[in-house]
Amino acid sequence: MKIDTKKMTTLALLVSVAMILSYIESLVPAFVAVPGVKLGLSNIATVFALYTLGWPSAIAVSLVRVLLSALLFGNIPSLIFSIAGAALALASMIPLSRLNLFTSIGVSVVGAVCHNIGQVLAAIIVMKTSGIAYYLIPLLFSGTISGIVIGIVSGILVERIKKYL
Amino acid sequence: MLKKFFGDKRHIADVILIASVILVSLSVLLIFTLTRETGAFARVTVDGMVVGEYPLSVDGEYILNDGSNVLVIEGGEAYMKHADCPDGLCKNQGKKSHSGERIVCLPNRVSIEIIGAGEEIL
Repeated sequence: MKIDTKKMTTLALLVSVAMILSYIESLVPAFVAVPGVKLGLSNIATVFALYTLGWPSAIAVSLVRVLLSALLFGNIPSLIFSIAGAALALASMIPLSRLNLFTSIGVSVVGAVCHNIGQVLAAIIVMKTSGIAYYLIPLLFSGTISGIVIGIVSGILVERIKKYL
Repeated sequence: MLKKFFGDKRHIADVILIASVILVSLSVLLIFTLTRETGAFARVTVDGMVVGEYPLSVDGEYILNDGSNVLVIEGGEAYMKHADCPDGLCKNQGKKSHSGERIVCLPNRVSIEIIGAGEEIL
């Protein structure tokens, strides 16, 4: 992937927007009952990068955000869960977006659900208990809803901003 | 400009996709509900450390974490009777009796997990 200054700046901007979004999200204490349930606002940056700058940029934005968040706010277990989730989400969203069968909404729903599946799988492996699989059910529903929201928002943003990039 | 996004024909495919994701989630929920087993113990964790395990077959009231929370086991079901945290969310999480179910009191870092008979007792 060819990196010029403009692309590098855009990527850095997307990472910082993603981190601000996850910080804002952490200020909303609405999702306490089930750990792992969240809106995932920062995925807007990943989906946006996927549709405007291409899949290598989406991987870069997602991984740099996960690593920086872990360094600043997180701990090792949360880093493992985030990486597993982000990797599975990217692995599902990249081929799906290239298929051009769905809009960003469908792609982001699959991404959100795969993100949750990745997190739960990582938790099962790390904690060596399959009891956590029970968490997958609320996560599947919340992931679908947040995926729809993220897909709509990033679809609108892509339409509005793409021509300036 | 936004008509291009909202008027996209691929939204039909999106709706089918979302419907199938919800359908799969519902079937997972159904499978989990049908196959879940009755728990044997309530495992109490404070700040990530297991501090006690209480059999669901014995009724009792247990004071946890120096009195911050009170766990009650009654008729094979466990529930949080008292919590001194301001939100008290754990008291609303209901009675739990199936293996894998949890009551979490995040402010006090107290978590109760129902453990099945086959699982390892620490």
